[in-house]
Amino acid sequence: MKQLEAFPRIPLAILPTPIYRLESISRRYGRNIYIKRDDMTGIALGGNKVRKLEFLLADAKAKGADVVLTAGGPQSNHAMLTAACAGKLGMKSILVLKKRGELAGGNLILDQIYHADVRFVDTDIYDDVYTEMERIMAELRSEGHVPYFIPVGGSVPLGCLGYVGCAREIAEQCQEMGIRFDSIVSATGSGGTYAGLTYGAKLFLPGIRSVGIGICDDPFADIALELMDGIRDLMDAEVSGEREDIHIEFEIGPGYAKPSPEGCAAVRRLARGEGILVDPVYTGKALAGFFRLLEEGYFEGDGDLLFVHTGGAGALFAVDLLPED
Amino acid sequence: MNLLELREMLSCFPKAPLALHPTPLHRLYRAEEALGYGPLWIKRDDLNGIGIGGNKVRNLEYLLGDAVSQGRRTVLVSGMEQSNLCALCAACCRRLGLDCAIVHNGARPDRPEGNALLNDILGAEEIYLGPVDEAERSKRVETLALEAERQGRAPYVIRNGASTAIGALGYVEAAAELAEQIAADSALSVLQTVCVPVGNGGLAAGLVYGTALLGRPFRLELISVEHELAPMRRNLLALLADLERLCGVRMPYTLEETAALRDAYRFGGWGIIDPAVEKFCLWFARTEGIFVEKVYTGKALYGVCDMVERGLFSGGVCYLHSGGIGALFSQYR
Repeated sequence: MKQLEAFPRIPLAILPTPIYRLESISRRYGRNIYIKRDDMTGIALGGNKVRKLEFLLADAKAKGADVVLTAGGPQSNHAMLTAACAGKLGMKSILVLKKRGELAGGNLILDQIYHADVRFVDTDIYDDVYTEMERIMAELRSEGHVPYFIPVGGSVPLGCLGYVGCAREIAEQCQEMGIRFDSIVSATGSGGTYAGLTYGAKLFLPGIRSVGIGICDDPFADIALELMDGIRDLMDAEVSGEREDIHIEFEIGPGYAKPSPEGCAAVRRLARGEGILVDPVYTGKALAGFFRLLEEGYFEGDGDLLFVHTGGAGALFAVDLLPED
Repeated sequence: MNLLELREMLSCFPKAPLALHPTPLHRLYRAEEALGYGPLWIKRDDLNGIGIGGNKVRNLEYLLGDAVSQGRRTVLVSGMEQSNLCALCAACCRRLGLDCAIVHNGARPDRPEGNALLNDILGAEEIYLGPVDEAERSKRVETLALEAERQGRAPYVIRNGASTAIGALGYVEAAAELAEQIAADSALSVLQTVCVPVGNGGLAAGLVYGTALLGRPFRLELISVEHELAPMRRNLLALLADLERLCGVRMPYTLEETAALRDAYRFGGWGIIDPAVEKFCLWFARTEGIFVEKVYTGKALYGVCDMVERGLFSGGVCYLHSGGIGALFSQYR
């Protein structure tokens, strides 16, 4: 098996990110609940994507790219962080975002600060976005540029290595802190973080359950399995991801990127209980799903649990929360 | 005084642990490349893990520690609508199970943005006084505190933007934290200067006092974003005298022996946005991926980079990023 160190990586994040116990949430659920602060990676407003971009942008640099293209929704944290990290490495970025209707503020403000070339495609499906990206890339090539393509969420096996690394980091922190987790819970929007964490857990945190909370209705179990095969091949490893490693639950509410009462309540509960901010449509919904599972007794026994805060607070400033009851 | 003695002195004061300390200290490689000078470091007090982060959390650890030790239950804090202190105070109070009432001058916004939005999410009680000045606001806060006392709400008032001697203890501790980080990493042994923004002086006074007590392990550059030199100096000396009284330890070095005071980067003073600083904030975000907002951290960091370009430094330089990112979302459209 190849070590993670064998892959080119440009350090961009401040690592390791903190892990600590959530006092008021633990009290509420009568369980030791910890948080992993991947929102504190130190670039822009932080977030999980920085771990993936460390590998992806190293690859882009190695291939001589001068322009990075990626896609996402209009409040995409991934796209914003791609612009931030690419800019830091002296590369231009073009963000092709799918958009219906009007949505300003939040991460779009940050895109503007980062001087990203933002282009909107009036569509609901990524195939249209990718077609437009193909066209832009052909144009760039004809002008002598070298474009580098990163799909939605940076969710390709190479990007997932960032979260294999995160699982290893968690294992090291557990050893230092003298704790052991029964389950790790993370948000799943494009499957990459989840696949990386789940595969990394198999390698470095044996026996732990990795639970992904899907915030849109994509077939994440299949996506994660395919990505885990990709990671295995990339790392030249013996271990394969199995279907029984995959635990996907959904918390979509009225639809992708739309605020739900449960998500907004979870945002307020974490802010008011712990002083920690999450956005209402991504990490906030995953948190709502986590709270629901806790209430339903999904996590049997009394072992310690870890929630991974994957960031995205920028969207908080663009998506109106639903009013309180 | 050595580090242990300073830590021991601080441990005599009640403190509510709120932030993830130590905050990261890292190199600014891209800015070094662009400016042709190094090493440059940044101390990330914007990244302390509570709310959207920022320097006032250090002050609040000691102020709210004081409140809790006195059995106070309702914290009154005041500031402009986009006050970073107010939003952080609301977050910190939540963490400690205290009620928080925020008193703003100005009118209630139709659609809260930036820090005002965070106050909403945190569920703080928000009182808008309308168009009154800061002196009037302070008076009204004291009246509200008396009322709260009568109602049995056990109020605790955060005065002068948390820049009091007790609040400044947080930055006395930050001096110790920096000295510890320098001692733990041989690469940091060339760090000679630490640059900080100065508003009403709470952060700077605490750092000056701690740095002087430790025998000046580094030199401080205090960059005003608010007052001209004379009132800036007056504020700092008053806070330093308060700190000496509170801690019962005289400073072994004077203010000027510990720090250089600068007022060349005020750009018109408090809250005024200057196009050169705006441009600089964008440059820094695009160079390092790190945000600074336009009226506080942006001006001070502009000053640091300008002084680098003028060749005023020798040895390693560290900038203390004091946060304030919540306001960013009200500064751009």
